[in-house]
Amino acid sequence: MTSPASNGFLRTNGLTVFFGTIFLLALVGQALTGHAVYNNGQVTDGLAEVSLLRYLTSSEFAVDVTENWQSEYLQFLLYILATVWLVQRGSPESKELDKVGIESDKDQMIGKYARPNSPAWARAGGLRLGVYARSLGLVMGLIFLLSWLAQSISGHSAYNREQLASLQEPIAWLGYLGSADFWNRTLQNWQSEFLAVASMVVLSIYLRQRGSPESKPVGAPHEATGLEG
Amino acid sequence: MLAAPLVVIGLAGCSSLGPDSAGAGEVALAFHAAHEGGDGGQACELLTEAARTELEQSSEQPCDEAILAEDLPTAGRVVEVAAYGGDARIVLDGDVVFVTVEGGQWKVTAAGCEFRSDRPYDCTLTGS
Repeated sequence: MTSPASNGFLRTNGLTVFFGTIFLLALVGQALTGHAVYNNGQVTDGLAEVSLLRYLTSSEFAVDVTENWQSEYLQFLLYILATVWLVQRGSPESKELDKVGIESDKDQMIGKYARPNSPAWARAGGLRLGVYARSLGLVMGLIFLLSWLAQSISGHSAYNREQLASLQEPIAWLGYLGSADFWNRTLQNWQSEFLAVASMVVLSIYLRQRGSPESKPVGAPHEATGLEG
Repeated sequence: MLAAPLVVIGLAGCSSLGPDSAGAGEVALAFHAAHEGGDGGQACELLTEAARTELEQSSEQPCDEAILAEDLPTAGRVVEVAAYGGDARIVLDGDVVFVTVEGGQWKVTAAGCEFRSDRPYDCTLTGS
């Protein structure tokens, strides 16, 4: 039986609160250290230092933030979509080997297999069910695209500011989308995300973290797939 | 969560427009007007500190005298302003001028600039 204390807000929302808090702390830290780095550069170039507010609204801060955001959302988007169709023997990150694909209505608890406490759109048919059945990927994908768009706009502005400061020609936004600066910022983030996912998939076959749902139970065999601890 | 990138897009979009790009064009015109009118003091007022220092050191003259000896082209109306963050390039009818924000105001960093493909502009007067 669950005690009242175990239903407290912080306890039942610990993951969201924890990651939300450390996200904000890290963002504040990035803002403060980024401001210091930016002003060091200004002094080196013989230019005036800027206020924290001015830095926070600068394209330099925006591109540094959004190039990381887009890659994180892309990572999770790909993970959400790839794990529908691709499996990995022995990994708790994978579903069971015979469940490749979108699975049956029964397995997914939709239509006539919906339960009384299933979400309303899961009980509905047609377009609403179609949208809801893809809503996680759609929203993560939308946030990825918006973040990537924000990166391209702020990166374009930051790039052109540097161009002008060194007496060079600014370029158009479409030209920036094909530039080495845009793709270098993008790919240096993508490669690290893809490496982390691949590492997690493989390491979780052989290694364990007792109590974590991201790991198999400590005593589970290496070849067991789709088990969460 | 969706709002966060939208906010950033708005901020980035605004910052890409630069601080008062029309003001940047006016400073470029005022600089040329002062130079062409023989008002070296006013022209020097519109230069960045670094540009003034560079000019005085290279010419071994006070700025208001040295600036008038610079062979700058005559320039007319503003044709195009490209402003990003605190930097801008102003294409005038007859010249290209670069400006930057210093002390909250646009100041000239380079003038008498000619375009060179895949290289920085070649400027008669420089100092960033």
